[in-house]
Amino acid sequence: MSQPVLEMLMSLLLSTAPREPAVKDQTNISMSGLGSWPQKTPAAAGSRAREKERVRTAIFERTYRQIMDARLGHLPTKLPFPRSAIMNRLKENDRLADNWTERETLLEIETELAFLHGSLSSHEGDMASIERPRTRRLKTIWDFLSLSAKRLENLRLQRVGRLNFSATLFFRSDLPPSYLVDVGEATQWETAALTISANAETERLVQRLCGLSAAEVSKEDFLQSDCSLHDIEKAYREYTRRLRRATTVSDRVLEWRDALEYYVDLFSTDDLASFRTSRDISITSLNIQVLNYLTTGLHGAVQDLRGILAGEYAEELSAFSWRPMDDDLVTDLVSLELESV
Amino acid sequence: MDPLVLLDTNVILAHCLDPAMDTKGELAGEVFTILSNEGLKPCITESVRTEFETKLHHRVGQIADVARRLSREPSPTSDASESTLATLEVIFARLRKDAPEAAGALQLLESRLARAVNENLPVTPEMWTAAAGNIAVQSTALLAEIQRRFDLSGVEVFRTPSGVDYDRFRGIVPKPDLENIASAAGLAKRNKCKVIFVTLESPLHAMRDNIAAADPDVIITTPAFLQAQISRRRAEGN
Repeated sequence: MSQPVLEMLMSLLLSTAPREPAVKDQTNISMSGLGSWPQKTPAAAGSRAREKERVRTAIFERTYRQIMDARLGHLPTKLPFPRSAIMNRLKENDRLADNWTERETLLEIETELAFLHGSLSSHEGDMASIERPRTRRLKTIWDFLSLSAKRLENLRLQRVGRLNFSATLFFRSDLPPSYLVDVGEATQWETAALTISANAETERLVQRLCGLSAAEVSKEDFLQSDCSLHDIEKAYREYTRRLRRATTVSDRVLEWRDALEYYVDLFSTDDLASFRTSRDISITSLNIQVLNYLTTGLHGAVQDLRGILAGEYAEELSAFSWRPMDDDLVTDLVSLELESV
Repeated sequence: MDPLVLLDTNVILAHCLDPAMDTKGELAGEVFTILSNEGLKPCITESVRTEFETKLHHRVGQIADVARRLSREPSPTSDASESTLATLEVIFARLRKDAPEAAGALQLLESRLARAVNENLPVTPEMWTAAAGNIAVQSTALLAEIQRRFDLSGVEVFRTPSGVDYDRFRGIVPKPDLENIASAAGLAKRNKCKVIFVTLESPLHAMRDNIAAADPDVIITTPAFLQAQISRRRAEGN
């Protein structure tokens, strides 16, 4: 286990407090899906360091494969540049981004999660350990939950940064206003889903294992669980199953949103080097029918996600709020405008 | 048999925007309270739901567009030949001309920036651009917030029944309401019940007799008369 990654853990839950509506953080880097945390058990062969590097590389490459296959796969038109060239440009852009360090931290976290999940999915476990399997399982689950919270916070910030980038791009374009509304709406709901589903499922798991709230539980409390090994494993499987259900839907929102953003970006330039850079964009370079197709898909995905949240997480959704408490004037302004709908 | 109570888009919007914000919000809140007390579920037609989402998107889009226009204006401190306040006034006059639909947003922005200038706070180009970006991004957060309230409002959405007869109401019902009223009539026919359609909008309420003449099962009312309408229709049903 990598100590540096685990040492920075703070809480099992993500904050639901309204955020400062700052626009200073911008990012145009490639985004991982919520449900794309490593769910494959790494093979046991080879040295730990070598194996870790292999898993790390696989996770890194997967984000780009997802972009090329699942997200750009939604485009109803031929890509204007070769796939490999687009992928290389995305990687280059990510490596040069200001927040590449955060991206690397995320990669480190996801690699650790792969090993933790692998260990939790295996009945073999670490045979060399002198600890009882039950305690070992609980410790691993604790580490997994803590790291997951850290990972999701990183992803949430990526989304916020990307939305800010999209706003800048929109300001330098003559794109219809609905473009930013659609991207913004999808981002707001996806990040809400991330927080709501992760917190709800963590809470459910912690309650089930030790009868305490995830907001209050300490590692010591957690390890005191008197559940049997069988019940612990069952609860963990239920946790991953339920979370996967929610994240599959929210990842569909990401797919369509990325497809829309990449369409606008890729098809408005003749030079791949300007892809993912802030520049002037003209609607004349784009096909309105393609834009409509992508926004229809995006609206459908957002509707599905809203349905899941209202149906499965109604209580948590009620407690959630987007209202920025620290900027009344902006809130008043927008509310006043919406009043006149 | 209980009547089916359908809400107009303006009732849902007022309810979801902020129930405590103004009279409309209070009236919409009353509708939900009455229905809850009467054991009736608030319902809307699919057409009302679509109108709700479309109007919200459109309005937030207008705000984003104004924010874009604002971001393209030079920061008021960049013109050394004029006082900052005078430059600000020129900018806002131009924005009002270009985007008359965003009067409220512009008024609030103007007062904030004018106050900042009066208090000698620096209106830097960075602050200017950041303010515009902030407005655009926050407007999408508010959009999601209103949608969240809608999703949790417990409103049941009825799909438009097949064979809806629009012609019966053409020329009677204002065009934007035609689909909502025709769908309400279609639901009354399909469910074999009276439909009470609650609106905050006076033109539609003014047409209530004409609508009732076209279809006696569709009763247009306002929040003030909802309670009485429910009692009357229940009495008729028994």
